[in-house]
Amino acid sequence: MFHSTLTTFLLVVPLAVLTYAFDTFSEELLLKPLGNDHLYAHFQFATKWDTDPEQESFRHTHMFPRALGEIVARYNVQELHVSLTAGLWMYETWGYPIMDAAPGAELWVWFKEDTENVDKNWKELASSLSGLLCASLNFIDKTNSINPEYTFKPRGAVSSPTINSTFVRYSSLPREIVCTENLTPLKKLLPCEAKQGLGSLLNAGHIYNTRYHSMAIHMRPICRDSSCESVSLELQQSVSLVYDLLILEAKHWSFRKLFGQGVIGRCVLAETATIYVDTTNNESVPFQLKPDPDEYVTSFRGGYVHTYAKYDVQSYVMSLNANYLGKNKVVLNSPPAIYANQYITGYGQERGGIVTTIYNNHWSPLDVVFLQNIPWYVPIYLHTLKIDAGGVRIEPTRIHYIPGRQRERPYHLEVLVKLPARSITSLSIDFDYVFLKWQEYPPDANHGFYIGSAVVSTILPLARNYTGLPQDGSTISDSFNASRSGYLVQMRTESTVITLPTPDFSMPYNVICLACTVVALAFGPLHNITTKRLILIVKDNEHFIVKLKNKVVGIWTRRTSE
Amino acid sequence: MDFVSMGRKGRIQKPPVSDDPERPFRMYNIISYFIVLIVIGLPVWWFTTRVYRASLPLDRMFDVTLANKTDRQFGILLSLEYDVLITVVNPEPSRLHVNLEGEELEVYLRPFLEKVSPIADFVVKSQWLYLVELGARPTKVIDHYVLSEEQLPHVITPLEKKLWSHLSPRPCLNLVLYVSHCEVPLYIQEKSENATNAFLSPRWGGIVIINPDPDSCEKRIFQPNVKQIGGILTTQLSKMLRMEGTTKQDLIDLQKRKAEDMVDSTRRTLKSLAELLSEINSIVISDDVALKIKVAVDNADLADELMAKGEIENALTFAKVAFENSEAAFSDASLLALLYFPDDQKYAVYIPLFLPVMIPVLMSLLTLKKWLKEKEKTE
Repeated sequence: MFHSTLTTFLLVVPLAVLTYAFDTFSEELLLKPLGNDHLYAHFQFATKWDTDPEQESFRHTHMFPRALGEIVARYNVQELHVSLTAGLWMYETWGYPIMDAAPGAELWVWFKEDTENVDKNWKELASSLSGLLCASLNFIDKTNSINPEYTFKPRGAVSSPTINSTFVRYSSLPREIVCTENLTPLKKLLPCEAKQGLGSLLNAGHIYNTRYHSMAIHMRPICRDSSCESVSLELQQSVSLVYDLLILEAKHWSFRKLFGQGVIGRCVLAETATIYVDTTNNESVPFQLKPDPDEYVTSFRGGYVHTYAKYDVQSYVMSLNANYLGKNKVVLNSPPAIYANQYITGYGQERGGIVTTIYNNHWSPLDVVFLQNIPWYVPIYLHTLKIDAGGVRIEPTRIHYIPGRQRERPYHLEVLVKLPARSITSLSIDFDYVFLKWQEYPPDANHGFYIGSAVVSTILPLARNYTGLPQDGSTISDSFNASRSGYLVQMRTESTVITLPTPDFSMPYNVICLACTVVALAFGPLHNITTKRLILIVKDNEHFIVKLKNKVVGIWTRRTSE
Repeated sequence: MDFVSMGRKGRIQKPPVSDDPERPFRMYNIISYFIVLIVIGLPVWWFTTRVYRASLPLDRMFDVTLANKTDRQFGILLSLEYDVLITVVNPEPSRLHVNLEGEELEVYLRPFLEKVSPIADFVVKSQWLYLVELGARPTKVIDHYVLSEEQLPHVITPLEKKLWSHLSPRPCLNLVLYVSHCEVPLYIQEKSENATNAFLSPRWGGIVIINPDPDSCEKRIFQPNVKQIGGILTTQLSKMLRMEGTTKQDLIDLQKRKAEDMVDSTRRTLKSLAELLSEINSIVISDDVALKIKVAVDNADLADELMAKGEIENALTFAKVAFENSEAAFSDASLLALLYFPDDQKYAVYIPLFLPVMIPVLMSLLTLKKWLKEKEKTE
């Protein structure tokens, strides 16, 4: 426990930046034009708390949000990663995002080694997070969670080199929708909320008008310094957006068009608050920034050079404008080193197949780990797994497969494959369509059932189109000049929808009506025959007209005789 | 079958009754239909489609004397554990840095909380809120600002929204420390001494207003008097628990009050549950819940006896057990298992089956009655 000293405080300029020695908060915004007509905006809020995650009880918090701290303490969580996304990240045209996220809701968590009942903690953690973020994460339970063996290793600092994968759980809900009620709790978790600083730009009416939007919370223990003798707790909150400038009708973008307003001052609790604009492609698609940036930063990373215009957020309202110069050009883009697609094959409602196509544009073979979490109502057959690269059948390096059980656990497939250089590899597997019990269909059953996206992980040797943060970094500025031996990419493919044979839900009503009618119709005559005396009447064979005439005559004679 | 001829005018003549040898068998058929469907079938259907209710000591639940609710003072929720949440509010962090730690405050609260630990457990938590204002505008009086008593309720509601929710099942006692703006020394009512100001909402918690002195404002760093604040918070907590002081007699009084309150609450809960059971037909009482109710009733009676004898501490233990069980039974999820299957839906499903079947059976009872009357006449 240590207090901030008076001397450091007196040296600070009129903008009193709070340096409560416990935790520090920084916020950044990165704006990166993608090609000619898209703009990538990424908000990164990082809180670093210099406390020992093993000992911390989370009862006394400062800038770290108490609501999240209580959840972490109660369920013995070591690392927490949750994301809510709408839209698909187009890897072919946009490169790699800073953080990947699957469409819908995705949650993966590492629990601490001394957790007794991981499944129980997992279910209750999902329910608590659904209350915190106003998302239906409570549908996550054992029937749709897996513990990935190779794909999701801990991102933060660990105490022992051996990692036991019984303490990790992963699940995704592709059907989840993201809207304003998910954004509001995320803003509330920030120290300055939405009153000051970059949080004030998060206006739901504008940021949901995008092609892709994703919000994520990542919490993990990290090394406090390069010697890594002590560990701190880090919380990253991010909002990733891809604007389609044609929809915005604004080739020349500005904060007002993107977010509806400028930045309302600087968050006084933030240690650093910066805005970066990627000007690497300023030669091919030139634009001019107003006001002028404070400085230009160059980053050499993995063999590629990027330049950024840097702005420090000021204490007055500030806004950014960009004017595109010159004529409209069509920009050819070269696709990134690796990207993947997923789709369903087959016709009818008896058999089908899932195919994942991975494109390797790199000049050397790449090792990838392919993870698929298939729900239990799509039974796949492992013997039909085929890996095909340009017509040649290749064998996987390793397969980790746990078959699913109906209504108990999903199908967990992890395949390690070495992709040949410059190839298109497709992994295909067949499945059957099954019938479900009638209470297991969701509302609007004819919409179909979702199969979550596959996760393709690899370590790239070059950082082309790569903006991801290094493993030891928490902020965007940590990624500048951060050349490493490899760059981790975990791509998510599309999620697919299949239509399972759906029953006619009006059948119970029909059955009741039919059964009751049959019983009533059968019972009536039976009862009559057994309890009434049947008398045969000889029918009068007179013609109807004659009978009518007789009746009329009878009435007439009676009348005249009265 | 008998043959009948139509007369000249077309009227049917019934054959005489005497030459009907099958009549007794028909009557026996009517009787057997009646027995199978109504005497055997109806009870079987009723018992197989009724809502399950284990046996309960309903007369003991109904027949209780409850304390008059208006006599009791308005106070905090009754529970066996409480969260004490200390929130420090700094509305202008750019002008002032407040040097205060949640752990320090907890150290000052601990002795008091230890003393009252027989009645409940307390968990102390703290958090910080920045850039938040009080909801009411104070009026300026000479050199300081004043909040009148009528404005105080309007202070709590907007603040409550910012305090976040809790993951714990324990009710929360909120203690808010508001550090006023630098040039806005804030007081309540008309007090103008340099004492800190505090007010209390008996159900929710307390708010303490701290005014930083001009020296700290210039240096931009403020070290509040933790001992004084700890004392104020302790007083607020003891007022919320309705204790006069902290002597041994006060503690015993507190225990007695809590035991009485818990027994009263148990009885009230069980009585309302019994009333609900008689009004709503679709509440399920499983064996589990019935056991909890029985335990609660027994322990409440036992606690009453012990309090009459004067053994307060033992009475408190039994009262706690009774309270816990009654709350668990009342809020058990299985009670509402059939909430969306009310009785009218059950009837709507079975009436199309039973009504066309029952009508002929019941109508044929009239024929039976006639036959019995005839038999009497002939005998």
